[in-house]
Amino acid sequence: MPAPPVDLAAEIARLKTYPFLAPLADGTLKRLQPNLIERRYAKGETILRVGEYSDTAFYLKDGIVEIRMAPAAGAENVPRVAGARAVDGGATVLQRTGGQGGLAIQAVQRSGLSADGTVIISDMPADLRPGHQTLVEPGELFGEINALARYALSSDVIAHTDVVCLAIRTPALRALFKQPELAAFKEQVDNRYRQRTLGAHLRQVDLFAGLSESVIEGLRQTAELLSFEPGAVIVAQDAPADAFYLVRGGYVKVAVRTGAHDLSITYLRKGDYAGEISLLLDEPWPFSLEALEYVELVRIRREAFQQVVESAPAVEQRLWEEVVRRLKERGAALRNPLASQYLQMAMDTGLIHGESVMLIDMNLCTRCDDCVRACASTHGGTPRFIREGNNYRHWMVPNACYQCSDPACLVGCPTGAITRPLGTREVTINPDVCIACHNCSRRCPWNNIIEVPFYSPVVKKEVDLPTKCDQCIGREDGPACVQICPHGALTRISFKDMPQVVRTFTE
Amino acid sequence: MSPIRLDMPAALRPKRRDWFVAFVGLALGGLLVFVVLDVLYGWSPGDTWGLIFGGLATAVMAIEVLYALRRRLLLKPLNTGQAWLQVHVYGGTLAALLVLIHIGFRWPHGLFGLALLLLTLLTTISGLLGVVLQKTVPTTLTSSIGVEAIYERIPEMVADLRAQADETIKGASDMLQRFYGSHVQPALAGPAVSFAYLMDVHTGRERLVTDFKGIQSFLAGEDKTRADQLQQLVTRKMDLEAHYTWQNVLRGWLLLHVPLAMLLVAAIVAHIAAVWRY
Repeated sequence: MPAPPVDLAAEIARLKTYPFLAPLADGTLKRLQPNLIERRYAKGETILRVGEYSDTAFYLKDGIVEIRMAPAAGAENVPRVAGARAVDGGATVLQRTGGQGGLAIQAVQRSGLSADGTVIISDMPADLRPGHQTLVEPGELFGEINALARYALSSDVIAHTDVVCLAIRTPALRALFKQPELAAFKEQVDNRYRQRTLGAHLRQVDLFAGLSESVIEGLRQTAELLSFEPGAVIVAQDAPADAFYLVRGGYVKVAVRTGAHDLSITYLRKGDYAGEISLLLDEPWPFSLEALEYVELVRIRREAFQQVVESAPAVEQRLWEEVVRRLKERGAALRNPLASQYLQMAMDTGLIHGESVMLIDMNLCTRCDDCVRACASTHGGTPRFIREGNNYRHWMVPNACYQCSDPACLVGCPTGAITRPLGTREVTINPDVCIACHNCSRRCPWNNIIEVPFYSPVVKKEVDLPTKCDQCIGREDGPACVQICPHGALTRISFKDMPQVVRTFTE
Repeated sequence: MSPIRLDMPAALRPKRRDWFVAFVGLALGGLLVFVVLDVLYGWSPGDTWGLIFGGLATAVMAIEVLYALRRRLLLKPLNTGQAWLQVHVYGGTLAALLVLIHIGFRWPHGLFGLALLLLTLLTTISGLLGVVLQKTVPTTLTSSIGVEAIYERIPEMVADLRAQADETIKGASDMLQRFYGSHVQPALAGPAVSFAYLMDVHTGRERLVTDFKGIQSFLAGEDKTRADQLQQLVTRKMDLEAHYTWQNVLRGWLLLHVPLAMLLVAAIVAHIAAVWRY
């Protein structure tokens, strides 16, 4: 049955009832409206699940939501996201949030909160401890960091009462942040990121892990938060040294100009940084930075950076080591431009997202298909990959899940059937929960989720169930395909380790 | 002075040097024992040492049989598939040598003994042929042929090319239609295993180019484009057929090796039973 036509005027009028959207022109709202959806949740209903990747931020209009952090019973239960420091559990706390509404949330039980006992949940508008919960009141925005920077959710978000909220999908969220009328709203969101997340984020970067509170505080106060669209030049080569950049989301290409072309040296991803070379040497940028996709950055100005260097000799030492490493990398790329083609290929094809990409050496592979048979026998008779794919030199990248660092397939699964437990690498689909809506297979940019006939206990009929390589999770000897290959033709490689990738492809 | 380096052809170069060294060590050890004992006391398959070597050969061959079970995943995975294959290759070769030592490097008496020896040698040689093929054919497939295809899907892919060609020829001139019937359709038939591809994976290309060049001079407008597209389809089909032929070779040698190995196992069982009985 076709969806009923949308009454645009009514829809825009409804959106205008949200205070933060009120300054926007009708035309803007009309354009954004498909990605701004009012949703209602009954008391007890789950809005977001821990470990999920979400492409939606939520603005709470009515009702109260509860943010629950998993108990710290074991390390495996403790969310490991930017900003989350695991501490022992304690009494349940419902505590005040410093949100837009400004009202206090009453403390129901409060005990045992020590100065360092509070875990900062990077992606939620509240401070939490494992095993505790926090109530969030109307006027708050939550989930925006996950949507923008593609972090896994650190906690469950559940409707504490009946709830009305505005679901803002990522494209609309990016567009909203660009509206001049919403500058104050953006500033407020950025401020909260500075207060709640940036400190933890900085501490998660090895380089800054040992900095004192006061230095971190100084960085927090002065850091700027920047967003870039795909293809945008963040810093041009030879630009004056003016800032240090920390990546909080997306991928950044680092390239050096050679003749009429750019030669890729490396790429940066979440947690990586750049700018130390030009700042320490007081030289113009020796390479350029370009956004490969939507990129979120933290910009630390030269003065603040200098303070860090002066206050922490260990950091300065690390930075100098990094300078040497990067300049070596740059020199190696310039000396051997052919090696750079694999990096460029990885960036062009999206392989840089791969945490564990299957490669087959076709000079060794006898096409015996023992790998496919081994996969099938490990997975109830159905293989989870197809021995077909793109070839680079004598290597094939078959259609097998790359176990992406930011898995797009995990976004929007209606039943939570596709998951990656926090701190693990393998993305798995639970067939007992999957309803075969194909959301994940449609979202996979590499077509690595294949569908096979399966009797679903959920919908009680035969469906085309999405399946994917799970690296034989739980199998003692690791992936069966790699183990079984009689010619050692199969390997798995992380595209995080670019030198290893180049070595593999050029050997 | 730099050490002298002997470069082996890639097909003969051992994948695992340690396995090769162990194999050579065991082989030389066995030969040494045989030579010493033969010189000192003489040698007979029925003597203690002859029987010991026969027993060793049987034991190694029993391990060889396990590889077949392992490939069919009937055994719990132990170590890697690569290690199993190395054991199979070196073990098989060693077993043949042990058999030769067992019979004292002399022709056996009787027809059965001769058959047993021949089966041992043929099985080993066919196995080693497989090793050479497995080391050389993949490189040929990867470096010389412009396509990669799953063997079972090749007929389907060729059929798809035929369908594309049928679609391309629609609305073409009589001249091109006739050329299509006489040259393109036969060239798109199959796929069939062709010995010519074993000699040269690009066999037939020059003739194809000449034929298409010849017809191009009689064509005009859209027909020229059609002819180009048809040439690409035929070229792709030839690539697929070359792949098909070579993949057949990779699979086909097993049709030689496995029946021989099965016969050998049966013959060994009969031989042991006969020795035990008589």
